[in-house]
Amino acid sequence: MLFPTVDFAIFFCLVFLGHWLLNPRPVPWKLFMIAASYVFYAWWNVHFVWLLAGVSAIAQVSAIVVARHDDERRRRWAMGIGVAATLAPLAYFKYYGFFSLNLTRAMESAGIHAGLPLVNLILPVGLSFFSFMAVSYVVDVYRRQFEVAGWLDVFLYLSLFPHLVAGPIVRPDELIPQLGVRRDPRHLDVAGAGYLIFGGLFKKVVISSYLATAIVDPVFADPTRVSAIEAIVGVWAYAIVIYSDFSGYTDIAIGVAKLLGFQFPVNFDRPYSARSLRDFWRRWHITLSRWLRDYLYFPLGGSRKGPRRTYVNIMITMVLGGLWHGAAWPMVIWGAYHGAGQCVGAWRRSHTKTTGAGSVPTPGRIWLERAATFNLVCLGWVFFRADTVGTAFALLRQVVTGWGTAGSGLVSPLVLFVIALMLALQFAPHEPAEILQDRISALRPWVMGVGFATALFVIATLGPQGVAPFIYFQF
Amino acid sequence: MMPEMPRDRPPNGRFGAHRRHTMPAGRVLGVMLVCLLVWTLLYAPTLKRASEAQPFGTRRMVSLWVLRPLAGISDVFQLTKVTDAAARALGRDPGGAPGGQAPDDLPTIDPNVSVSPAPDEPVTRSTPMRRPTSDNELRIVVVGDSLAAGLGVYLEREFRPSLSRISKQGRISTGLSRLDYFDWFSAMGQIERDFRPDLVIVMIGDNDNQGLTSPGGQVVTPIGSFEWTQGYRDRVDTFTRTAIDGGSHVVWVGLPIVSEKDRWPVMQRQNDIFRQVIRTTPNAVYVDTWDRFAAADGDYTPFYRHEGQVELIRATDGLHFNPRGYQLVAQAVAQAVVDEFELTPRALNG
Repeated sequence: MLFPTVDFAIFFCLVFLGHWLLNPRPVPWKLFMIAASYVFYAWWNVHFVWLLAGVSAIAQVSAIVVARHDDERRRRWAMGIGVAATLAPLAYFKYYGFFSLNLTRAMESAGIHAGLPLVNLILPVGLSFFSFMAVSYVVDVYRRQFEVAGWLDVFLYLSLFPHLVAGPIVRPDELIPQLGVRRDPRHLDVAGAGYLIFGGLFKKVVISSYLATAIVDPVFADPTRVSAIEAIVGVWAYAIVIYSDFSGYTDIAIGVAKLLGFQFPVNFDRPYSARSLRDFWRRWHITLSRWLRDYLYFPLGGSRKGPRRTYVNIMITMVLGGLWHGAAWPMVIWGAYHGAGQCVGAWRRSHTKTTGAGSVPTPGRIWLERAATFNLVCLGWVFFRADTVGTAFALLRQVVTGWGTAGSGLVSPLVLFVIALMLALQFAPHEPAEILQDRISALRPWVMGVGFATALFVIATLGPQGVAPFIYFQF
Repeated sequence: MMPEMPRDRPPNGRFGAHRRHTMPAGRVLGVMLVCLLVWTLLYAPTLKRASEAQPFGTRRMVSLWVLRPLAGISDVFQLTKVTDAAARALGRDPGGAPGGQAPDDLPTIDPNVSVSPAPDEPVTRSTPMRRPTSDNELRIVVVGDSLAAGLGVYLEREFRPSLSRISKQGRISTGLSRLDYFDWFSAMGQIERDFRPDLVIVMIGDNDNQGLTSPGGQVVTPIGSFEWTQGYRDRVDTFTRTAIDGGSHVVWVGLPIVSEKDRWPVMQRQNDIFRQVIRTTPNAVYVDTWDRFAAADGDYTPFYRHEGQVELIRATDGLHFNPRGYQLVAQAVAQAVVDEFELTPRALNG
């Protein structure tokens, strides 16, 4: 079920009613919310409901086994087996096809016919997200950072529909405690939730869709037909498209959760105002970045084992982060590119510490760093968006050699205005938005309802017919 | 009894203390219902039109049962005028068919370009395709459903940019059966008038395993009947003729083999119809994608083996192609145009 659909609007009204009616009765409430979340998930493919239930059961059994043992070695084994079992469906559905195909190719080019079974499987939506959340739960129990929760709590933690299909990746200590307390039905921040939901819809339906069709799709469809300027603006536009699409989805998810009385972590913090690639990853898909840091980079040793090992750990983390986004070579290159960029940043930081250079940056330097970081991130997006490595290089070649190409008239004043506006918003203060929400919150309920309907009307009018799936659903 | 969660208090900022009013859940539900009601009233006619175009079944029936009275109320209060005015202001047709949008706006032909007039009489014999120049590029249009939308992207890469202009007009979920959802005959006529394509590439039919309807939505021929085959053949013929008699050459790309075997009988019947119609039509060629991408034993496979190499070419839905698959279909189409219509190979890339 997609958020910007009539189906979801009806579904949410019914769930909202049931949720608040059953709120005082914990067990019926949890059963109701699990059932609602599974219905939400089954809307795509009813068969994969068993996968969600299976991953939840594996995570809970693993956590119980880990918690039962006091012996550190046994705990580690139990945790390792639990994590492997939790990730097994993800490995099979997302990566088996990619690795078996590439292995077969490599072997056949060497004259070896191994006869590996080749498959091309449908990736169950949200699998990457809830599998990572399940791993968080098992590992946090192993680390004694979190107690084993009840079965219903774990099933609801992993399936709660606002985060189910595209995050944010909520940690056990952020959500499970919220499931054990009664939410206050008297004080809902409907203005804040509405701002997030309608703002998210606007970003997805209007901004992202417009730039995607106006310039991004044509530029990436055949880079040889566009001029260098169009190629550059097309890549900048894609940076806005993916930000609007994914942060729009996250905003809607956080807003929906807010109406149900839940607090979700922030997932984006003005990523294009970053001054370095490290800074970017602290602002972009924050919940994934910290997951990779806490459950992959730190266990690998982080930066505690010397500079060389630090660089290796960064590369492993970022390449696997790239593969998380898709089992394809362009994603591997994208991950490796960001890994290499972060290694250079780490080397520069250690070099600066040694020489004591660059102490107080000037405003000019800060803006230069921001511009450089944005364009470095955009360079990475070329591989992220391109359907093949060849297309990515064709586009980059066009940026260098396409200055004499006539172009296709894709760079319009409106395209430039939308890109500039969205970039400017990365630097806008939070206060005006807060004041606007305060003003909305003072409206009478029926006025607020009409106002929200008007917002929907504007969004639906400015947006295209139909809604493209959110980009991050495929991950 | 569960403990109660602390309330979420917005922070105070430099613009002064925030005064965020909160609301009880009952009123929030009221806000949501008012919002939904107003929005539904505004869009009831559009939603009703979209529901009428849905496949016949319970969902369509329930949607129409709810939306008909709401559309009536919307008409009484003339709310439709608001949405129609907004649509017109953005250059859209508020009464247009609900069929999906095409990737490209339909281009109109440059008035400075000399175009040979459309034939006065039906075309009866095949002719070679004209030689494109950089001043008068080959005008190519790709029409059909989601398969055509995917193919259009990769066809662009096969033709040399300086000698070709490609318009991608594939519309998802459309076909030749449901004229109430999207009328491809009218659309093809407009394409011929406005763009005057030299080459029309068709890939359509995946959504046509349903009864044939009139533009008004009446089922004129149910699926599975003998009349359906004849009626569908007539539609394929009329569609092809609209392009051919407008002066275009046509490449009709057949439906590819799919993973769902239940769909094979209807799809193979459709491919037979396409092949038969194209065989008897001048300036038209059929490109097979069923046998070309089937496994050696005739079964479905998402992989393509060629010269000792194995490649993944299909999407996970078992119907569409992945980029490499569309590239192979596009190459087959481009080769057919050179072989059958004597297009100069210079017009192709590589």
